Amino acid sequence: MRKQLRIVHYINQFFAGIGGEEHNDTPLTVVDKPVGPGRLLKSLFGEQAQIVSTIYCGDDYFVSNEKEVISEIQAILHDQRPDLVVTGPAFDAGRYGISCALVCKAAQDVGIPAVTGMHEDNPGITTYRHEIISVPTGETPIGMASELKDIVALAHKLLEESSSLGPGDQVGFAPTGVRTPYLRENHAAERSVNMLLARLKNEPFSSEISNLSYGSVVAPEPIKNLSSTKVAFITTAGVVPKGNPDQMSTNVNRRVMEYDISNLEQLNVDEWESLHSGFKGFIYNTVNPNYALPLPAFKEAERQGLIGSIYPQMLSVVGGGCPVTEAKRLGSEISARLQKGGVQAAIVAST
Amino acid sequence: MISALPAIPLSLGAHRVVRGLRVEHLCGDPNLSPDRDWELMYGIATTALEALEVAVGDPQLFQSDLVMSEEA
Repeated sequence: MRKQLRIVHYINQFFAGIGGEEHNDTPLTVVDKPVGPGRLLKSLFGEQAQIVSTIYCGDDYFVSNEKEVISEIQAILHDQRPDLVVTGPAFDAGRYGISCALVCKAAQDVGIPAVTGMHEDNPGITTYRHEIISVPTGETPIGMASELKDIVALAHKLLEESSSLGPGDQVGFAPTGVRTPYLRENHAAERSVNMLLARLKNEPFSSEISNLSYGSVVAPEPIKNLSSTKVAFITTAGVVPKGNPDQMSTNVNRRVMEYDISNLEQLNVDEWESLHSGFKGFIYNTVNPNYALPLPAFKEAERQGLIGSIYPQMLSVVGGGCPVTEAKRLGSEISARLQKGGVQAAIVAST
Repeated sequence: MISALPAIPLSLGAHRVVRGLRVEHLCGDPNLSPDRDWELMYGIATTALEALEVAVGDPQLFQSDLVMSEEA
């Protein structure tokens, strides 16, 4: 008979049966048997595994004492030496999801494989997607029985083939965003023609480019008084002083550049250029860079009193080849700068 | 946001999208007379500025009449 797997299970105070939010300050506690969802987990693993410890903790206690809790958990893991750590599932509970993700990370950091489960929008997965293996669940525990089955199936895979696990959407865990290069049998032209043929025949096919969710942003409130508003202008065409003195990249850019436009009426073609490599820039570069950021029109709008003032710096980024995560980071960097500069509105000229 | 391909930002949830001309000459057209080119650029810029005053829920397209007549 194979050696029984030793499992440590982490849950919160609610699933441990201590209580709801009124008990969210429950300190870290260890018991040497399955508790709550752990009992089902144990029966799903059957004879193959035993839950040697259940660790539970109040959600608030965990996030307020994160460092201490994590080091305490690592001490327990060191003591128990489990083959696997299971956390949750946390469904759509935010702090619980974060705790489950952090316990998985803590286990992995000491060389113990870990698996959890939570809803795709749980901040535990949106924050730690790259670092954890998580089974997608519903928002509530209503489907817990089958989701625990998925966790058990994934746990077995994780233990058997940890180095070649994935891709997530095929194996049953939330995509980690990590791409693993491998050699395909057919080259790209053949695969794309096969995909087209399948499509024409109404046969199933799946794209090799995953359909990312970009999230959503709430519409900013309308400006009440445009004539007293400070407006900033941003271009994604990578407009820079001629010669690109700051060596901005022409593609997959990681920087936001700022250039003083407070004393300019327009961008002169012999002083400015667009270095975006994703389109033909010769019109911007030989005829009129203002097509990429209509500075003369904004200056005229300022003179006409349509807007209050213009933020003295124009912001320039290169839109091409920018991954969504990076674009989000650049976006928050830009909005933080503009807020600091007292800007109330911004126009992006996006090429 | 001024875009030459408004369908893309609208489908991704940008709230105030203003139609520009072409990727290669977003806010004007070098084939037009300088006066007409300036009117076009000013039309796009002011459409974008005025869009800031409009309350929007779902993504909405704003377009300058001048751009529409150039496109037609």
